[in-house]
Amino acid sequence: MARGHSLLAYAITRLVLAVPMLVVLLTAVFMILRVLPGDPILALWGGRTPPEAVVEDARRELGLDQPPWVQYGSYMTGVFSGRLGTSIGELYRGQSVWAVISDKLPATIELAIGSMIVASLVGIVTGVVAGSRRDTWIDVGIRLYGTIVWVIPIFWLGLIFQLVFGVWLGWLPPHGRWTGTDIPPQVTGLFTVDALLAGDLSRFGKAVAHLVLPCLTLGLVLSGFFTKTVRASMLKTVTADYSEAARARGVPERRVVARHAFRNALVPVVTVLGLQFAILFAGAVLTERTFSIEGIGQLLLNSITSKDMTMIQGVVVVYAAIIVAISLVVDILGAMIDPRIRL
Amino acid sequence: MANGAAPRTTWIPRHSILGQIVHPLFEERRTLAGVMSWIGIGILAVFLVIALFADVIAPFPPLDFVDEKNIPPWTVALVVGNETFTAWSVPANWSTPAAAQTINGLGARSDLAAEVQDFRRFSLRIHTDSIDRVELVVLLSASGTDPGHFVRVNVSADGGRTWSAPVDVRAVGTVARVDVSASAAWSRATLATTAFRVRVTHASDVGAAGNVTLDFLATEVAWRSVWHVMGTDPLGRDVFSRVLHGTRTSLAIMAIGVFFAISVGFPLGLFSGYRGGNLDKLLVLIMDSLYSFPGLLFAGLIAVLLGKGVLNIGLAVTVIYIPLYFRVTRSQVLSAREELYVEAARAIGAPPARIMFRYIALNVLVAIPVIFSISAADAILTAAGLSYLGLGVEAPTADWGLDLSAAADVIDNGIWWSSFFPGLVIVILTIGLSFLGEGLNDIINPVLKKERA
Repeated sequence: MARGHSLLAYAITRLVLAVPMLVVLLTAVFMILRVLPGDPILALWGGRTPPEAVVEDARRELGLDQPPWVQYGSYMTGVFSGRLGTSIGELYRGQSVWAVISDKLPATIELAIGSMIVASLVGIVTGVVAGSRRDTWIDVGIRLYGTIVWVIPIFWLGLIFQLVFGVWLGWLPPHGRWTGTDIPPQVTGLFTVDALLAGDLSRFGKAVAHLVLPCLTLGLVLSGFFTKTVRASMLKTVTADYSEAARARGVPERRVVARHAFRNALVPVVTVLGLQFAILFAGAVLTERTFSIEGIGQLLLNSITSKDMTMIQGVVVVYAAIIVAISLVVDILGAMIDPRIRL
Repeated sequence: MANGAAPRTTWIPRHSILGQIVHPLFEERRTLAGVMSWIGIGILAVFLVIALFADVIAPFPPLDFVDEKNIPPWTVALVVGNETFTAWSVPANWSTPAAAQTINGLGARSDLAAEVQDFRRFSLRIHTDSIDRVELVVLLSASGTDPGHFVRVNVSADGGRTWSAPVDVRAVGTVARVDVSASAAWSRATLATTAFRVRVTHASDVGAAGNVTLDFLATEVAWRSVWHVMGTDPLGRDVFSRVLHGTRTSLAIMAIGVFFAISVGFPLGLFSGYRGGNLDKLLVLIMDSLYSFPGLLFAGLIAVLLGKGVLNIGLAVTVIYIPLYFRVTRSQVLSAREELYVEAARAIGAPPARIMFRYIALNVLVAIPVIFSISAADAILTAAGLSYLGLGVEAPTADWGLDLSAAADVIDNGIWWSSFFPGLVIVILTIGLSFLGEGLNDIINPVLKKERA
């Protein structure tokens, strides 16, 4: 009971600390957007000069005629009450920002989850192997892998995968989330889940086939970090007292690694996981571009080029909210696993 | 430490900032960390030399269209180029010669034998003088040509002063090919729009009156491309030259980005860590928030704000790394602040500014090379990513990310070289930098050193 209580207290403290973080991010974005060159209203007219009255109306409608602090206030209250406004860009003019984002979000979520699975699987396996065979050639090889894979440009790896598996071998579709029009009936927007909900295994397979290359690309690049972290903490746990004690009791080495060292080695991995998501989302933008996936990364890029201020704000808010939420969850997870953090 | 300081480095004091890095580098050159550091230094040095002497090393200017598009690397490709004329010249006594460009259209027609028409300005895209074959492709309309009427074609390589021996084209309704390879000494000069002409003369076996209609006329040239180490890109530029010149762009952005990040992040971290208090808390909150947001996206927003160009992209990249330098410096300051020598300095009455700069800053500075290597590698990736997304430097600047994005469209056709090589050099450079960072970290970081001992 006492344990649960203090965990709750920790979670609440952490949640309260997340709010200023969100505020700082939103303020930074507001400041950046207000000094962005190019009038968004003139950008809508694409080079033609709109009538003065129209510009005035549009300005009033968007609240751009008010002083910056008033704009800032209404922007912040809007964001925190969940109103993200309507798009003012060319592509989605007049549409609700939230509707457009929630339309694009599932693609990014599928990609992010898939890559995290690849990254953690590859990273943990290589990290454990390297950590339990310290200073052998396998260890050196895996360390090199961890260093090299981390600095490979995602888009370059993606292009190579497209070329090899999509073009030369023809095993997997090189582009997009789906080919054809038989998209599974939309429930969640995640094609894999929707196909399963519809009980359609062949369409599930098709959705997965489209996901393999992007997730492999992003996942492998991210795996380097897992490899390094798991290896480093394995080095400590393999030689820790409890592992030595197990060995002394005659527990076979495989079991020592699997049961004693491995489990404890995962604790620090969870705590550093939170930092990975910022990198994951940056990588997702590049992956989406490379594989022509219409996710929120692509949406943000298109909004930047079309100077769609409200859409940029909306996407950044969603990004910030996801990142803050994830780091919150990861921190609480870490506190659950390792009670020392709560202190 | 056992093998002692190498004598050749004793001119750098061991406990100076440089000495704390240089001495271990020589002493531990046989350990894995040492080898990694030296590999990193080597790679960085090679890239610096390339950036400095790109003009001398590069076989072609990076912005020029020097050859056919998409020529594979390591080969001399046979290029077959095909071009119709864009102008005709005197004596223009054929009707509507312009239409002869189109098949199935109204052709150029002549109704009297011995009428002559010169066609010129075949804008053939030829980049070398090794020309294998020059052919004329002629199509006479079946409906517009009377029996017994045909054309004679000949070519001029000097703007119409001398003409080759005429060749009869009697095939009607099917494409006829006339090989004129031997008619002149073909080269870029003789096939240029000003020099090369095709003359079509109406001829007849049955009498002067009667129609001949030319539906299509083109020149086809088969020529050998230049040999390219890395092939040519989708615009016909030499990939190798662009890769070499791209080094300059990348290193410049990296240097600007990291330089400004250090010059803002380091003092801020120093000040914030040493002062402590509410200001410190606020700065930490701001920096942590910025650090948690995808750096590439932030840099992209700022790049749009500042506009394109190497300096602006460098500044945009800076934003990502200020929090990094801030965090590292601050955490180093926090531990250095408690050191005995700082306390001693305080005890003898040194003013805070002196303590901060003389005692703390100089000792914290040792941690910078490690962070520098890591952030430099990351900055190169970010800059390339920005250009790949179209938010970085502007075409036609030689830039790896830009070249990759331009080549991404042709990868579906199996054209791999124009994206593979720019990416490969990014990987080599960033591997070098991260080897350096990791090696230096192992060598300099005393905690790791103790662990290994």
